[in-house]
Amino acid sequence: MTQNKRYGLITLALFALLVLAALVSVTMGRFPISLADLAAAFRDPGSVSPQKAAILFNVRLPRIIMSMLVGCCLAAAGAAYQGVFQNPMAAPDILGASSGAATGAALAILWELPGQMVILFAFGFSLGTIALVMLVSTAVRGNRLLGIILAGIMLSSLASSATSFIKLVADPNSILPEITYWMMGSLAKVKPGDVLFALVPMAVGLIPLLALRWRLNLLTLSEAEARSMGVNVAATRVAVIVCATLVTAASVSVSGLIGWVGLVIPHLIRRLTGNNYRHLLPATYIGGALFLLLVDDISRNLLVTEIPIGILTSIVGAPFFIWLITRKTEVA
Amino acid sequence: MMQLEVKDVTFSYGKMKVLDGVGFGVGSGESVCVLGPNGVGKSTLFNCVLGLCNRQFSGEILICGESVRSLKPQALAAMVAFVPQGHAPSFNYTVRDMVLMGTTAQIGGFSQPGKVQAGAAEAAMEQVGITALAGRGYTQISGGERQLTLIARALAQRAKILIMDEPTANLDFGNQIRVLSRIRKLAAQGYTIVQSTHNPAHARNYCDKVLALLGGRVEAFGAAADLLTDGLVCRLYGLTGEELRSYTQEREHLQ
Repeated sequence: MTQNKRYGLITLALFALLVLAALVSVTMGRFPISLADLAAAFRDPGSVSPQKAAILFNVRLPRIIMSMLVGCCLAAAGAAYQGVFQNPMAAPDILGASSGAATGAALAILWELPGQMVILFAFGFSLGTIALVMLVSTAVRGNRLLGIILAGIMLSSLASSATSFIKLVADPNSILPEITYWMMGSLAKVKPGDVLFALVPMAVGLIPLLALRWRLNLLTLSEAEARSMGVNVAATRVAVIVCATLVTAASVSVSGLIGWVGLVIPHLIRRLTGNNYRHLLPATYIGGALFLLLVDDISRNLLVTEIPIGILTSIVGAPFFIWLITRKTEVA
Repeated sequence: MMQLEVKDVTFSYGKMKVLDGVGFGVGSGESVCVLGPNGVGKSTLFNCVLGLCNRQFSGEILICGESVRSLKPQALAAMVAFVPQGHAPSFNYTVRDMVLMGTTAQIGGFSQPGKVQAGAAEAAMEQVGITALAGRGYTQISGGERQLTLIARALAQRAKILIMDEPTANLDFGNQIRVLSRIRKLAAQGYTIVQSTHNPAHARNYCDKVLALLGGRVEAFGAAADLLTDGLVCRLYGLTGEELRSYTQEREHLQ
């Protein structure tokens, strides 16, 4: 039980850090907003200047909340896919949820649809891609897991080709840059409505995933073992894949392609809490939120022009990951 | 009533019959060794008993009188536990967590193991003598210790029938004896045990009954002491009397 307490403390500490970082993030930005402003605005929105309230409620808060949600979801999806596919190198884009979203977004941008439709197209194409993956995989003979992964690789590459074709036919002066910029990943255009739109699928995915986290441990063992211990392997596996896909699709559709979070954060948290999903998953939720919040702070504050967050997560994530995997200590 | 009854089970991969009308029964507290050459269908037989190929075999398998096909995973897990060969999972869990996983069938699908389950895991570890390993990583302990961990996990599951797939495979001589005598103790405590092995001597020394499979059929089934003749061993493994004698002579020399 002392071990459980230690992991509980780690999760609690991460949560405290997240709250602190969120509060500090509110004060960061070109337009000065203090914590006192924040408190005043929540108590009575009329007590601060309309400009301040508009920036706080329409720009800064939605963006901070969205960065935390997206970070949480990508890290959670990474950890979940790693368990289901029994592979520590799995990431949220393993089955093509990201490539599918990119195709949808590119198509919507090509047709010059409004921003809301870009999100909707990305979300729909992302889910559609995974639905196709699962459908194709049922026809693959032999190992079911391998079938899902192979179908994922195939459809993911197909989606990427479609995106390339859309870029080829897009107007190189107006449409192409917009598609390219979307693919770099950014939270700059997040609106309050987007947060509400993304929140529903995110909650629908994150909550059951958290509830299933003990069974996720058993999915990392062989099918015969898990089944003999009373787990309905096929159903649990599909449930986890659906949840992880839902949160990935919701994230990617509002933020574009943000890599590395889903791989780096679960690995970092594994070092802190061990591999037992009972402790790993809650800490991963919080760790992912914290990481992307901090990276987004850099993204919007470091230079005068905003750096797309997808570029930054790679710049921060890749060296960090190398440091992580070359360290000598092994988790027990 | 028989704990485990296998009736006329036939299993085919395509046109090849792996199991062909296999039938036998195991009573409470009995320990059965399954012998046979590589590829004779021992693992397939176990998979059928564990409910992994309900739709693929014909015939009937009864667990405490209930058809394995009609049992949900959770209900089956309460009656039958599986001890696989010591393996290396993709992720390193502590021995305690590994054993605790055995209790999964006792809790709801969306729940976490609680104090009762933790207690069952501790008791199971104590039963096989690995309490000192509880905090160690499963991938960092020896093969023999892993096998004992998997046995503890099966005990934490609280099933009375234990199916073991070559529990002594890849173990050194000392660990083979330690694991086998631990299994024999479990049989004495009333567990029903079905294990596969490649060593006829294990069957003779550690089991009550022998199930000899050859060509997908039951070659012989009965008391280990009566059945395990040189003739049967030669037939099972395609040896000449000469080859077997030279092996046993060398072994006596060693002793």
